[in-house]
Amino acid sequence: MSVLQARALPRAIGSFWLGLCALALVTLLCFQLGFDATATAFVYLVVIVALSLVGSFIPLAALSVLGVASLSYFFAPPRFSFMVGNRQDVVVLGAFLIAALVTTRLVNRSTRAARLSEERARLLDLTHDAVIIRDMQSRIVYWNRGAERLYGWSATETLGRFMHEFRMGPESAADREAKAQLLQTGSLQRELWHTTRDGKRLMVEVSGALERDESGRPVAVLLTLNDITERKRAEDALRKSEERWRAVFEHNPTMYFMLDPAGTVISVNPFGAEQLGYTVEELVGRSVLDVFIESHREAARRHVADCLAHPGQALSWELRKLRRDGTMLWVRETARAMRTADDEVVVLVVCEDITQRKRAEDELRASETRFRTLVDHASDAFFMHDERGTLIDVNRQACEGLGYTRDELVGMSRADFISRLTTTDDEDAKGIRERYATSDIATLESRHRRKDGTLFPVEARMRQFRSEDGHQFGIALVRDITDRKQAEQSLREAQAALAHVTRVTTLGEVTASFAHELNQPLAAIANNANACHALLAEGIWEADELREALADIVSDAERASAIIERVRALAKRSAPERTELRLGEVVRDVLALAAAESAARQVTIRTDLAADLPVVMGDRVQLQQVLLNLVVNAMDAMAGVDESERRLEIRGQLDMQDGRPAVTIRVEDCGIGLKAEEADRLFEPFYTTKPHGMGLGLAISRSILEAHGGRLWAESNPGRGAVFSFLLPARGRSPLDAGPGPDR
Amino acid sequence: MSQAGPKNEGREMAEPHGALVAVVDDDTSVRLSTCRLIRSFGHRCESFGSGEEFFASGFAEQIACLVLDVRMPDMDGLEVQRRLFERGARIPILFVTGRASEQEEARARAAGAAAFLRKPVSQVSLREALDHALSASGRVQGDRDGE
Repeated sequence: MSVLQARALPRAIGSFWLGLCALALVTLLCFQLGFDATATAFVYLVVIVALSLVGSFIPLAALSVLGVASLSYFFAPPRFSFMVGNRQDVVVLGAFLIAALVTTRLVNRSTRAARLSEERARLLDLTHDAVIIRDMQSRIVYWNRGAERLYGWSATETLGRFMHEFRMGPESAADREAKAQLLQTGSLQRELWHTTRDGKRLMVEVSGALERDESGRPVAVLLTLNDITERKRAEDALRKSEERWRAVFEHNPTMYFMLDPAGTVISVNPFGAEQLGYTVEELVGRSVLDVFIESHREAARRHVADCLAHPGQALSWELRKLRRDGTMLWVRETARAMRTADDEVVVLVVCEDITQRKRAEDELRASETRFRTLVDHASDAFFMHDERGTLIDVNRQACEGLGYTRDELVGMSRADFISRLTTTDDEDAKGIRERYATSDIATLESRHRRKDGTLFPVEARMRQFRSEDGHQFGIALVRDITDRKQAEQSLREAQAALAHVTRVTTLGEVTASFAHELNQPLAAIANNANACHALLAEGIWEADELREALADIVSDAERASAIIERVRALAKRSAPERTELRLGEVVRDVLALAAAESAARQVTIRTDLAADLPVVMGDRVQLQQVLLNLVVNAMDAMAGVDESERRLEIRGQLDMQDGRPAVTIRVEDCGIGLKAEEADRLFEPFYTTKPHGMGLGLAISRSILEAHGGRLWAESNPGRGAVFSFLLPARGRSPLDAGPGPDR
Repeated sequence: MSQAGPKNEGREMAEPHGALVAVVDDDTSVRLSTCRLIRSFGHRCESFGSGEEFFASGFAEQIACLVLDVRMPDMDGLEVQRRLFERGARIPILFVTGRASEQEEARARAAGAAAFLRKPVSQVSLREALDHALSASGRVQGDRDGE
């Protein structure tokens, strides 16, 4: 209003002068035209009404008065006098003045009202808020700039159209309710989702005010709209964040405490309280020290004091707490003192139950101690080494066995005391390395060198591991096998002795035929010598005859000698040895030994040996023993068979064992055969079917074959009788260390 | 074990007047040496490695005496004796054996064996047995020195 007032005076003066001029001009015109007072009064009225559209009331009122004066002076008779002679003219003058004043006043008032309204609209346009006015039919009657900005539609697009055309207020139940409330109370406040011209969804806060006319009839609704989308979003985010943190605080399986500087619980989460057997309400207000075990309370108090002394710094500790029911738990707490927004100092404590971990740690420690004790007291030496073979750890037995101290051994290389690999052959060594490389257990025999230089045989079980940090390391469990080696040696010697005994026993079974066999050349020698003697005595000097007789004597003597040598070789007790053998020769040796016996027993022996039998490694005498034993057994088995059917076949053929070439010798008889249950028992020591047998022949034979890396078995002959077979690996492999002799 | 085809292993001695003796033994050394010894006694001698060989040779009908092994593969001494008896050949038979059983000896003697000698046979006992057999059979031909 002050603006209006400030500009009122010059405008009033301006309009007065303008009015004065117009009045003067009209007066002159009407006077010239000879209008009477009535007609001129109408012309004046038109001028004043026209002026009232631009001028203000006071100058126009003044002009109206001047108009009356001018009418009475110039137009109402008597002219040129302010006197009015005619009564009718007085009425005209009075009507003019009233009409001019009233019209001016009305026009003026209405112009001012319109100007105010404009002014108001301009002000509404200035506000940032969107303002919309609608009538009671929801027709938009006002749409300010704020609304244009907010919704994107201009006033020209919206005015006169309905609110719902702009998706504002479709008639939902909530809308109807809101409308009813507005009619009842005259105002409303709502938050609504609106859509802008370009489709954006906005959360809008709507304030509505109902406008009524003088009769109280509702005529319009003024709506003020605020975009609160961002605010809502922020509020939502805040609310959600609060909810989350509350959930974290309340439901996290971690105990949270908030303490005041005196150690009183200000708050605790439900989980925390529950873990200790309390409700939240029971704990709040109590000293936190109550939930620690007696002996840890002092420590707990000190830790809280430390936190207060170092605000902002997180400190951790592990202590034992006490539940309400008296049970205990180990906890790890992390705490920090801080200042709240209200400027209070509090200690925030996060507390984790670590009872399980503590127990596991205790168990691990106990287990480690046990393991250490076990390892140290184990009879085996224990070596742990890194990937280069450098020792990381050893046990007591390792030290005692090698004669070093632990400090000396740790850091030494395994190569410093391992003599060499004494595996049976190169392929085995390769296998061991492969097994070791694939983290499998590798077992090998080698020798360790003591500090004093002496060697002793060991058996090592080794395995490679990868630690969690990726380092490769190996563990070797090493056993001193000196005693075992000695025992093995003794066993071998005992076996050799037993083999000898059984060999001699087997020989005994054919001794009678040896005697006869020896008798033949001896008889021939005697005959030839006697013949020579007689010829010479008769004086018959047949040089050729005598020479032949003497030559026969020599050959028969050699024959006798060979028989004796064969028997002697078999009866001799000698240490087993491995040489390259052709099994065909062994078969021939045995047949020579058994020839007399087989002849005596009327047994026909046939041999069928493949020509290409590979060479084997073995002890000639022991293998002869095995074969002789089988031949004698076969002949025994045929004792009850008709003489014409006493046939014995010895076959030799190429075979395979574990993919390597081998030789199988089969001794097939036509004897009484085997009973199914007998086939395995036959090889048990002291099992015999012979009235005077020791029952050791086959048992020893089998052990001989096994010592040779072969095997011996029995089966029924498909035709009749039994087949005893033995298999020996061909010599193909490296003969390295194959001897059964002692390792030392 | 079987011998190669029949073969006359003896040779004509200086004294063709002696009796013809056959030796059947599967052991070559024994057979040849026995034959040689018999020849040194002044007889003629033929030797055979088996009974079959002996019968196949046709000598069975000609000889004055047979020196026979008991144990031989295929046809044993007793079998040879039995077959000769069957043929009606009454030849004196001297069994010479290394290891014949009492039973075999009894069977041989029952079947009319002239002698049953065990190896090693001494020169004297062989000569006596031979002479005795030849004289008993009455088929000794010619005189010998020293008798």
